[in-house]
Amino acid sequence: MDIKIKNLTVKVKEKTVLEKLNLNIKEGEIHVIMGPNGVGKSTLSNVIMGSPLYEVTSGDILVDNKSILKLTTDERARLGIFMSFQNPIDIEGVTNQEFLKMAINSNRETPIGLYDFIKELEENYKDLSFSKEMMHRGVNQNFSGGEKKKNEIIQMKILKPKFLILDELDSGLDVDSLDLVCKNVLEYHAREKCSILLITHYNKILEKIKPDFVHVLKDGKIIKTGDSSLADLIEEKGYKIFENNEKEQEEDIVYE
Amino acid sequence: MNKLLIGDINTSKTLYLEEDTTLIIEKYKGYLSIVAKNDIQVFINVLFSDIRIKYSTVHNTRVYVFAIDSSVSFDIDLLKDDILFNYYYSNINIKDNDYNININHLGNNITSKITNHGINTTDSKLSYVINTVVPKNYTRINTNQDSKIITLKDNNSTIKPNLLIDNDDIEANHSAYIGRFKEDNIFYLMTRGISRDDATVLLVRSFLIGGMDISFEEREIILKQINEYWR
Repeated sequence: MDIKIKNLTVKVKEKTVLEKLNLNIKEGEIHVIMGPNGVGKSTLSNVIMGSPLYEVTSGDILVDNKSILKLTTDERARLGIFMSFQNPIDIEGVTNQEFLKMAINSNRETPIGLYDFIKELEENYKDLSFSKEMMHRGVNQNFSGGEKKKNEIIQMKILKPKFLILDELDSGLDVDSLDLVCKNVLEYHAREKCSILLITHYNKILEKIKPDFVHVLKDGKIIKTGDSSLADLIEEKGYKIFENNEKEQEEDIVYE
Repeated sequence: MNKLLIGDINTSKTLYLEEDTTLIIEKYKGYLSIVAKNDIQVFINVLFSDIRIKYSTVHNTRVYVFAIDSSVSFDIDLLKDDILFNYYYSNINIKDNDYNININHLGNNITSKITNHGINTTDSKLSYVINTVVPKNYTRINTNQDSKIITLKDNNSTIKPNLLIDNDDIEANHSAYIGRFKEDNIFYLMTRGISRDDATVLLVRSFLIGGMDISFEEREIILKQINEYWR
């Protein structure tokens, strides 16, 4: 799945949060968006997913050269776009099992059989070291931060999307859980040849999920693009290197 | 397990229950007294009725009520020390209806948890009055009431949560909410490919049944009625 974001400008309550943002993600590529807090990283993922909180005032988002701006969130999901939430919400009373079954069936002409569904659920629970009894609990209800993130990846593997938006996948995960989650994402990426947009503050996760491109987002714009060495540089020197006279500093850094 | 059907018009009855019971009350107008004789669970399904129920117990009890388009007035007397009482009421509202409940703590060291969840599906009026009562003679009570009405259309719903406490050493909490489902919840479900309508169905079901520890058969009764009378 190819994603093209063209000159995208987005407002929330009259405040511009993304401005003329451009980004091309080709099939199978892994892109990373980095940046300090509040620069619009999560906004971008929510806008791609069609959150009603944001108003796209100009520009476009194309999936395989077709605009998705007029599609509702569920239509975008059924097209193959998946977002792993930074803070997955709890939904009391809706069990993981009934939620996932409805999600699977929403993209099928005939409902999935109970045996096939349970088998798939159990396999994926096992892959993420999840107890089977979790399927009967409310969605993310009383889950730890790490369990919520694992649950997102279980949903991803079951729904089989073609484009993954992983919003701060690394937050709330201990070292072992991060290893496990990244292993599952990489296996899925290798098998499905999906495109990935990974949003993170830190380059630790990039030691496990190697990106093709790293972008730095600031004030709603991509101000720098590079390879994984850019993430190393940010780790070493922080985002302050982009604070003033950005272009001049970038050149210094590149040719240092 | 008992299963009782009550459908007479304009009558009064007293039921003495010694084991877990499913009680289905349809098109009933009148008064019903229930006396729980053991530690039991009671599931009451009220359809198109205008009913006043008095429920008395000296035992730990769990009471689950699911009502369709009914006016219900509930008096609960917890008559002995050290009782644990768990009560969950949910309803689907179509026409104007009232729901009043008095939870009378008539013993010491009683713990009660009262949950009231309503879905108002039309522009009609749904009114909740929830009275937690602790008279002067009783102490060491721990009681919580949590009431929510979800409005699927613009309407005039009200909740009056009252804590009528007349003694010290009582822990009493209340919360009340009237409004729509959180848009965050709908968005999360839709990001998984579920349509807004189906997301609402999931949330309605969970809101009405989620807190009920009931049998498969009782759950099926509720699901069938949700489909029949709302969707």
